Amino acid sequence: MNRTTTRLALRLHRFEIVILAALAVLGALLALLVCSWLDGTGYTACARAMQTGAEPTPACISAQDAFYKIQSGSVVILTQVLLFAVPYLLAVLTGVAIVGREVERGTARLAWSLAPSRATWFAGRLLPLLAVVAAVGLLTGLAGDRLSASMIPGTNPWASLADFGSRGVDQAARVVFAFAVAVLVGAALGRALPALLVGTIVIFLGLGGGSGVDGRILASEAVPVVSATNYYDPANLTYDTGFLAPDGRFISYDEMLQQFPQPTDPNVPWNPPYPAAQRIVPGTRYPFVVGREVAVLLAGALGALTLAFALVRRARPG
Amino acid sequence: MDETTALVAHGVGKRYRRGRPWALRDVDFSVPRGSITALVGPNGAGKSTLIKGCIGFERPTAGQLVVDGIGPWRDRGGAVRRVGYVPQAASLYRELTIDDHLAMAVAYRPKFDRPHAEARLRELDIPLAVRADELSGGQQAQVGLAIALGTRAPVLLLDEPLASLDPLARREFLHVLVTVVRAEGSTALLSSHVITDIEQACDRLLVLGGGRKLLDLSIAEACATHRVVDDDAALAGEEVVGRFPGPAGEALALVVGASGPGRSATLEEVVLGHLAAGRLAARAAGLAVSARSTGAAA
Repeated sequence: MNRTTTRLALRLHRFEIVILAALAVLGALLALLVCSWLDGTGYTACARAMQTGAEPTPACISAQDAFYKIQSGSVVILTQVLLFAVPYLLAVLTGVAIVGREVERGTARLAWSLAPSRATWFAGRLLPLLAVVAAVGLLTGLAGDRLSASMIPGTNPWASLADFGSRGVDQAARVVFAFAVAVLVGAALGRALPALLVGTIVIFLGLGGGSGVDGRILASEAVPVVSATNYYDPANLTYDTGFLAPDGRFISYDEMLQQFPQPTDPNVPWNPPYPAAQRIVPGTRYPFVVGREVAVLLAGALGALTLAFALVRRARPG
Repeated sequence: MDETTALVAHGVGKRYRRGRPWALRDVDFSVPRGSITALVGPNGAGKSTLIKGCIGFERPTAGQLVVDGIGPWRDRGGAVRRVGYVPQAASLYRELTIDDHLAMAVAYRPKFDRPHAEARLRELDIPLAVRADELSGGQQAQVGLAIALGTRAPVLLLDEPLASLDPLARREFLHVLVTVVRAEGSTALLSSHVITDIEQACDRLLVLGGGRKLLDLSIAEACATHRVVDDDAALAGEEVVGRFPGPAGEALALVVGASGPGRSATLEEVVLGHLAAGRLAARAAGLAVSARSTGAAA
């Protein structure tokens, strides 16, 4: 790979890159604008105060109204769509074309007859686009982080599992994975449009299935914590609410009712003997959880690209 | 393979899938260094398969190909370095300019002779700054040839590059090819349907039909050793190669031999006679195969 192959690889996808990168930048700028609007309502301070049980002041109620009005507005929806969809669109459109379009249009005949090493050709075509896709994924992911911090007042995106998977470096890794799968499907089918359709389905199933597995792993890692105020912290992944037994066991409401039935007299309050608790994955585990998922996604991407290269080595150029 | 041959095939066979007919079968030939060999045959004769095999794009199912001393499938990189390839359809990137194509060639092949390629394009008034899709088909073919020539490869493989060109563009293309090959002593294998083009440019003829080699000799020899007879009564004792219709629909027979009844065959008639023979042989082989499979089924 050198400057010429990088320039040419980007030039071959100039239309997609320019349009979609511009949309991604627009999404990031809109995210910053929306954040400034949300932060400007002053609701964050009110929300913190209300989390401690303080009564909302009239000013707080007014700030809250303004905050939720912005949050449910069309600009926010547009921003979220841009931040989420654009990097995947770029990944799929460029990914399937790297090999699929070359074979389909017959340009692989020229390129492969000039390049003594297909590894060199593949690297020259792949790496510049991978860098662009990763950069767009990271830009939108970090903008998503910032947006998430403003949309959920009082949360630190690096210590919060809210919006997990659709923001931050995790989103960038998912986009890179989608790109790698698109390259593989393009190499396998050797045609751009069928690869686009099949690639989209495979990516959807791959990321969906991966999220399902990740969700189960996270659920198995949930721990019970005492929650005196029963405050639901959006930074945590909360799976259940119940009680914490002295031996550290989490007891659900149903179990507690079986062990300590509610008094038949409605005037007698039900006083369960154990403190209220939640079963959660704390948001503070975000760096570990996201690091693990990024590692798995990048390993998957590497595997897909290795397979794609194996196909390229054996492929007929059409 | 010795120093005088650039390209050799030993019993080359190619079948794309088990149970499918052979695209190439038992093909043997050798192309002398410095020659321009015409590869002729009907559609589906295996011309493109053979050329792709020479650059390592297809793996022979049987036999062996050697290009400038290299087995293309065993050492594809080595074969690619020794070959300048002009594919069937112009395979240029429509988004890129001609200048970009030359830059790409230099990037992939550091020894690519860019000034040489540029000079060829300048001679033909093909601008470097335009995108490939703004050029005519003939100009695109010329760009493909200029890139292949710029590789300075000892072997040029041209897979029907003339098919979609008008007569003037074909003439210009062949002029450039012949001039360069003669000047540099490289070797070319040119696949084409157009016999007049072959007569102008080539010195050897390799005819394929039904995946088999039908004829392999110099063009001068091909014309000198064949005659055309239009009278069946005069065919007694002659070695008839094949029968084909003449320009007015008359029945002609191609026979082997420099002297005897009839007249000397033109190159086109030599090719037509051998292709007709090849078609008959392929039909007979097909009938034999179907008879065998019917027998087996019974």
